[in-house]
Amino acid sequence: MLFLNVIVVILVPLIFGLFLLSLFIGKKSDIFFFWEKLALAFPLGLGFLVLLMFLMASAKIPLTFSNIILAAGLIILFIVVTCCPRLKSPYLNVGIPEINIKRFSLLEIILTSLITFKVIYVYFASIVKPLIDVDAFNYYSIVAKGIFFEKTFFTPYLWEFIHDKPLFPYLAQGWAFIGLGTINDALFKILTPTLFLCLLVISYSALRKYYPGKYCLLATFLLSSLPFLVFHVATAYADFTITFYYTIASIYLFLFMKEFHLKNQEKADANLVVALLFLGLTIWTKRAGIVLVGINVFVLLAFLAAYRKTIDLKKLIIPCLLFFLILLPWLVHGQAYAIINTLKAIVGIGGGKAVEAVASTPVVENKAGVMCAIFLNKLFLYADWHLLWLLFLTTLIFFYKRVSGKPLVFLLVIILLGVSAIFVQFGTGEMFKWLIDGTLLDRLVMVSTPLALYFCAEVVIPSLKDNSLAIVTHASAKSKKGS
Amino acid sequence: MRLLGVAIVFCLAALPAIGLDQPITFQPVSDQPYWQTPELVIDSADYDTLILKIESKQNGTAKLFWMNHYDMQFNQPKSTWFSVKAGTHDYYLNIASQNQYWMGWIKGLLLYPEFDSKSITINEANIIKGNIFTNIMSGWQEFWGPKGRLIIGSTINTMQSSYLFGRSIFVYIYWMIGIFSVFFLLKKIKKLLLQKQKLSFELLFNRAGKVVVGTIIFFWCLLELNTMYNNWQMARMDFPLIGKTIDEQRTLVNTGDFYQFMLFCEKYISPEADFDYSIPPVYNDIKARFYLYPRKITKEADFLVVYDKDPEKEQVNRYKPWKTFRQGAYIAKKR
Repeated sequence: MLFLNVIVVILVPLIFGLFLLSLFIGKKSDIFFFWEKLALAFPLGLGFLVLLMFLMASAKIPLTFSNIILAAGLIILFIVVTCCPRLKSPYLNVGIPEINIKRFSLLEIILTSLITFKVIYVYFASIVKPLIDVDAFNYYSIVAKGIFFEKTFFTPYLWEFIHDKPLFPYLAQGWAFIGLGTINDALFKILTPTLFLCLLVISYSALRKYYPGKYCLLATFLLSSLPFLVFHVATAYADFTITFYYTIASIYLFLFMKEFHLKNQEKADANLVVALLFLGLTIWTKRAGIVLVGINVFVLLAFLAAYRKTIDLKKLIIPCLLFFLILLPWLVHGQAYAIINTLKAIVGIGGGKAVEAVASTPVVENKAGVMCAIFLNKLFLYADWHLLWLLFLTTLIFFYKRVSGKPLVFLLVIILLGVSAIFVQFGTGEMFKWLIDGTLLDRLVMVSTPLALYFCAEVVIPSLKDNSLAIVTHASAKSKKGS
Repeated sequence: MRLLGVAIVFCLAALPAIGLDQPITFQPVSDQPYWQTPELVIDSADYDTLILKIESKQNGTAKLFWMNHYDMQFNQPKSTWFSVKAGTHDYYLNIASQNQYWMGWIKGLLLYPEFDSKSITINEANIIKGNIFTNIMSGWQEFWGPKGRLIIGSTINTMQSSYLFGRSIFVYIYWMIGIFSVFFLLKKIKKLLLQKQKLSFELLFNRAGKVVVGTIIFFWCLLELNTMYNNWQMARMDFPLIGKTIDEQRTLVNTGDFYQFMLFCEKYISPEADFDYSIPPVYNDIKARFYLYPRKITKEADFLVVYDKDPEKEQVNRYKPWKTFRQGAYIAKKR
């Protein structure tokens, strides 16, 4: 019975997400691979389920399993009745592609096996044991348990734990408990390994549209091997969740730029919709999302300015509207001050709490020097990221020509601003003491790591075949997707 | 013949250790979970390696602490961490290479097994000037030791790398990447020259980039093999949890009888009631909030949950013991 409930916890967001994707990108759905669509549908469905639960609780509708299913079902019905008949190629009509293992090379078989082992390990490590992470107990899971019992999170006791934090982790974990029908703090962690699987599939698909399969598999294997990321998947913290949503948003933002640069307007439009949907959800996952979303919006504006002569601004209206609609409930519900608090904390002019923290921060004379030393030590001498940052540096140095070209330079700016933002936060804000005690840096860096790896793949793979670009057309990639 | 020659050289290299070793005695300290030496006077410059013959009934980890004349206390900075295997084994600790605070006159050693101390016996201990054999053994055991492999409390924030002679394994890897890259690049250049190709800076730079990236990915794969071994070790530690009910699992992942006590509290405190607590801080106090919910924590609640921590004076005045789980763990009720 519990096994069936676990399936329900996964299937409901997946199906919900499939219909939502059908609504948002239905006409252009053939530009995405089948597995890519599934991998997009689950996190999108989970994100919108969280929004739905938030709206229901705001409307004082009890968050019970039947109520949530009914509300999601009504939305699905609405999509089916009003939208699907008008779609030329309904998203849901795409068949399952044939997988022919015989066409795999030995390298591809080895890489696929290694990735599969890692995915199995991640699922095992997540659900084999009950919750043990103290902060997860203290901040997120107790509210999730509260949602299960109280059928809302609007109680003074639970709000003490939420404070001004975004609501995604609480409501997603709450959904897991509600779907399981019991407080099982081992199985409720099923959501994050599924997001990890989606991340691998999406990362592979995003590369596979342009490059040969074995290189894409190698990049995916490297992504699946990052020890700190893998470890965090098995916890009930919010750091992997924000990493996931931000990475997907940034990858599709880059794909939008790439397709626009290649003058494929339709593909560019679809990628922008996905990018902004996930960017909107990023802000629901953790307070740091405010800064990250700000960076991506800034880079998008820079891109639009660079291409102002060719861009049709009217086509941006709907994706931008969707983005603001996702943000709206969070802003309206009195959380706007969280943005101000976060920004104040970053620049070190926070309210009482921030000032208190600054006061307790150890006095260090050469702050920049200390920051650099800790930064370099953590990036290069710890096991968190294997050799990722060396690979990143190597890529910047040896492939500088490709790195500085459009549109890759925009992706590079996103990564560099993301890493610089950490520097600024530690340097000027209340967080310097957490750099010294080593509790925060690695988790903040994690947000940029999958993107840094994706960037390296985008730079290096085309350069492997002599000096020419090894881009294969999307059509030829699609014809090979069975393999 | 060549192998025999290597073996003879190896044995000769190990000879100094036989001449300079200094036996020392570790004794269990009564009522304490560790073993300690009597006061020592050892020059750390002359003696850098400790060889322990330990008999253990279980696998686990242990910490070796020392005090020197600069700091006559056993503390974390002056310590080294190593794995202990079930059975009788020799452990080689080149302490000077693993910790910079092995300095001055060593005044005492303390061995703290991070499991039941009664399940180990230190049969023999020698402190020596290390030689090639003991250095290799020490490096080998350090590399496969707990640092960088075991998930410890703070790993949620960072992951240590494996260590070799007191340095992160990455230091050696960066050197090797540099050497391998130069080697392969020179080979490429030689090949290009033999093919009589014109060598431009751009071509060389491009080739160099590919060689370095290839070398990085090769070493990344080796590191990943190391990580997969760690993953396997972690998974093995979780095997006992398979097939258990959630309550049995929670009992196993919590320390001592804490979760059994939580079940005891659930039984006697009604879900609508509030409670206050006297539980040692850091972990169990936080877990109690989660496990006992929907019972809420408030000051001046009807119940007080006491677990291995004496209640404050104010709490003693307000509550009287009501249901006892065991000595030191009980529920008190408002007077």
